[in-house]
Amino acid sequence: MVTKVLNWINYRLPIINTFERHLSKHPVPKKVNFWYLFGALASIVLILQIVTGIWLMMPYSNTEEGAFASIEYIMRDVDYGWIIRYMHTTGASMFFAIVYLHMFRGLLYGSYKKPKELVWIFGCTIYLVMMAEGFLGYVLPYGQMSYWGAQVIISLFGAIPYIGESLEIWVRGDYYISGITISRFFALHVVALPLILIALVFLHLVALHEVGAGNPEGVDIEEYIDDDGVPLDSVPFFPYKVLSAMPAIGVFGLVFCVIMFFFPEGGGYFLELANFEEANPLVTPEHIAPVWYYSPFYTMLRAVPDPLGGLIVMAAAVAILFVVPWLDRSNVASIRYKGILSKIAIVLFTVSFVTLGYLGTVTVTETGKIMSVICTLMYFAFFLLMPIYTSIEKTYEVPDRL
Amino acid sequence: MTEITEKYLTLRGANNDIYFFQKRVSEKVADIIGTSFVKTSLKTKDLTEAISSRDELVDALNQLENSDILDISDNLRSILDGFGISISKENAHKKSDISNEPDQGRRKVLIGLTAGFAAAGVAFAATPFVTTWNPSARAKAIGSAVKVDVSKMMIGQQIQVSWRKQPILIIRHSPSALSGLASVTSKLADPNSDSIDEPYKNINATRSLSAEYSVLSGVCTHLGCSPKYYPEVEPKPWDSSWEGGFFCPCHGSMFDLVGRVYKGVPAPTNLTVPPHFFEGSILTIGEEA
Repeated sequence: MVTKVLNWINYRLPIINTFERHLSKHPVPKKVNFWYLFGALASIVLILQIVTGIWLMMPYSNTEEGAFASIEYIMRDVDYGWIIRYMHTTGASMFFAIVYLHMFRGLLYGSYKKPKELVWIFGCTIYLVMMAEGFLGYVLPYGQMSYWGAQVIISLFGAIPYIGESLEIWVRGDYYISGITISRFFALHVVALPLILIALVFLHLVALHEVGAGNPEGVDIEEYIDDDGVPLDSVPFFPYKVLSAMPAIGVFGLVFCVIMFFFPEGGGYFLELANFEEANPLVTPEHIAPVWYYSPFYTMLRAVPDPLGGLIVMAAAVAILFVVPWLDRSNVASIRYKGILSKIAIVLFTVSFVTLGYLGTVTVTETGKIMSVICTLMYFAFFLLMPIYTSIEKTYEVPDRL
Repeated sequence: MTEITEKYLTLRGANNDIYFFQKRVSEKVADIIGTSFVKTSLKTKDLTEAISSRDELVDALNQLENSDILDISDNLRSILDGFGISISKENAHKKSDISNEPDQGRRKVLIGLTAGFAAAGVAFAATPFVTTWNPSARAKAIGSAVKVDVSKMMIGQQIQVSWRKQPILIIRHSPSALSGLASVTSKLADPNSDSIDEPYKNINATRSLSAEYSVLSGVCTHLGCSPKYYPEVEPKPWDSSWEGGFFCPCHGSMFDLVGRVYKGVPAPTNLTVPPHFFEGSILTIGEEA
């Protein structure tokens, strides 16, 4: 009976074919490592964010008077409201953690190399939209850090010559970050950007399935295929990848729950303490720091004395990711077969990025200022020198098969 | 002529000649002779003659229809010429034109025009979506001027009022503080506010319309945080020879007591002075006198 119904549908809408092509029978490289789990984890967190987000919308009030109070109401009066909210806030931090690891995997194993450029570009766009989404979401509780964080970010528009000031007013819809700003950010956070995000994830996956997933060896598995055109070094997605991902999903769930139940503020890195106070446009908190996932870029902004220059550097730091496929001139994809220069470069890059992230969360000091300039230069050097060091270094021979 | 039922024949022109009028031809022929309708004088008033003439023409058109485009006989050419229908050599040889290929140039123009109109339409349609983001009439009304009585302020005191929810800093300076301003000038990036458009420039040392009070926007010119007032002349963590002034907690920008920015800090310009005027001890912020 079920088969009959399925066949009836499949004749009119190819659900079974699509399911087999993109999920159950989708061929994936047989040997990958843990770095290849983060894509799946990211999609799980995305679903979690959408579901918890919908539930949070119900009791949330998007007004200047009501926003902060409605968050307290969710936390205290709504049955299990706190768990939904902490799931959403922990989810946001985890989403970024996963995406950063996912992107780092891309840099390690050359997941942007031809013909995967579009997969990489869609991914970078997802990251960009996520940053906007995270920022808008952080403003919604209308706490002190919501207010002053938004104040700093919106002031960035003011750094644009000529149109800056009116652009700032246009974005806020008021002369300060008011209820008007909150409710428009709410609309963007819950409808506009999630729609774009879902569309981009769809494109990211379709593009990936077209060119095939990569592997840590950087071997093109499509070179050796069987009579049915299935790569010899591949296994079907179900059950092999699904089952092997299960323990990882379990471990991730455990980490997630420990944070959600015991450390939802993440020591002030996930939810900043100043945000437990209602927004006050007349008092700036003693120390303004962004949430951890923006802090590397925030440090770059601070490293440049001029706001417009800072804005340009910060934008360039994200924009440069998009052109990585054309900066890497190496004839191998994976770091395993790249030369010593690439290996040194990626270590220095990682150190500079983590240091930038740390510096963004602490108060400015003289040493910190110098460090942030050095790390910003190192960050850009990794990308800008990539065409040179990837082409002059001696690479190792990549095996034929996985 | 009215009784004559011969199709496509009609009396026309100054000479009342019989015209062969309106024969629709195939696309192929139309392409050779330049129009899809044939409308030509048979150069006679006699009906019988006209009919045979017409038959000759229709016959010639049929021949043209069936002939190879590249090879139209001179005879056919001259017959048609006799009816005022000319086939240019060029037409006869434009083989590609005879195919079903659309006219790309024409298509480009049409696509361009359509896109242009569509873009204009989108721009018009986008206008309400863009402009609803501007401050509403209510937001503008709430953002109008505020009045403060400053006579109760103590010397050296700073108070903060809110105008458009921006902190506005009002400082009542002591004479000694004002005279001390000259000593920090060398540390300042722009002591005379040359780089900003300041309306009350060079009126008073306070940068305001009063010789005693400073009126400053408490929004850091770097990224909009609110600088804090530290009037004490004593070493501070951010400056070991602090002469009193404002320090921004966000990114460490420093300003002197009248909001002028120090050299080498992130803030690019002095704190701005909002529009204001004094009526006795009543200070109005947000409006010019």
